Amino acid sequence: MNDNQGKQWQELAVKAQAGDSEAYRELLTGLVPLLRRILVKGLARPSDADDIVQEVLLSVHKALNTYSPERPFMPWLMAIVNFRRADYLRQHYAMRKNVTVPVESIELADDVTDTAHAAEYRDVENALGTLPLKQREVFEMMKLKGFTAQEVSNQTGMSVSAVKVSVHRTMAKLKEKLGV
Amino acid sequence: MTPDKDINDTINSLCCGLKPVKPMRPCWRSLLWIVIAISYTSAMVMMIGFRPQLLDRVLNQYFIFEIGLALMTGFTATLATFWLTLPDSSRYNLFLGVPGTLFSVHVFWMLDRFMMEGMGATPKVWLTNCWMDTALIAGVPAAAVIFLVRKGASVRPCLLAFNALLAVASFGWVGIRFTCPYDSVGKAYLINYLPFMASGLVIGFSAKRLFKW
Repeated sequence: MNDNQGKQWQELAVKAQAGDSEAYRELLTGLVPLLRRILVKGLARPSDADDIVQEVLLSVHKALNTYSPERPFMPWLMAIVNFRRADYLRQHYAMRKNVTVPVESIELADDVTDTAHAAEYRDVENALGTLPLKQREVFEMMKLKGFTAQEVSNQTGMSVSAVKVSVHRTMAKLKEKLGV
Repeated sequence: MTPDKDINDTINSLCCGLKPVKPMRPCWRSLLWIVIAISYTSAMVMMIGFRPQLLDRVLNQYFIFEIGLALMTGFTATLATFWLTLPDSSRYNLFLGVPGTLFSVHVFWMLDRFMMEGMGATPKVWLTNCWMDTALIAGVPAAAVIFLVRKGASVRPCLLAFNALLAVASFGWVGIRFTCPYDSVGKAYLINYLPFMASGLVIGFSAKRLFKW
């Protein structure tokens, strides 16, 4: 961020105070990448940054009348960012989110096995091994790793409906091979 | 929904609901509140009636010093309160220490008098100890400061609450000194300050909720 950018935001903020919604949109849209960059640095989970970005945007909206047009824009914005980040982290720690882990992020070691069902697992692995590589990859992402169809589509470049069709066909094939 | 879409939706809804806003002027708000506080306190003092031998007291150097100190604390605490309603109030950090310093001087003055004069007479019936006057004198300025401050967006709500209380207490206390006929440390400070201290504790604990935005 350079001085010109700061000046530009200052002008946009003044126009927004006068009710210019296009200037306001430009200002808020321009702030998002900067806010993400600032916020992501101090957070353990980068995904939290987007929540705080939204909080900051709402706070900027609520506090727009407290911005003095003759003052630089950045100190005003940074005060709000720091306040909202502290607020968010206070809640985060109060709810002990820092000591819990979402279930989807748990990674089990490869050597963790359930001996009671070892034979069935081997059968499933063998059946998966007969599938074409792409089909197997899509199936594993969605059914074993827990990704959504949209996420698989984003990662593989396939359309969402193609992902769903592929998984459906794989399931049918596996059932046939395993005799279920 | 992806984060980008969420943020774009937020921006859209904020832009659609945008209305012109007038930039806040903390100095004007301070002035407005001081005018309200002084005119209301004067009106209440006249309504309640001046204390006996007021002229003698007004000529007393201790009395003049105490009233002057309270007024200075009141004026500076008012400015600090309204500056603290701006998110970027850190640019006034140097000034923000002034009301607290003046208040500390007041506390030391009280301790000094206490060492020299002792506690003095304390009331036998506590409920009649000018507390009704305190409530009458300080009630409206307290409500006015809360109303005016809530238009702002403070990032330091506890400091703001402390300064607001100091402003209300200072002007209220000056009013009480003109109506309540006691000047001992026990009466003039400890007991007359008690209602402000008690409300300060309540406001201190609820400051974050009270000034949430």
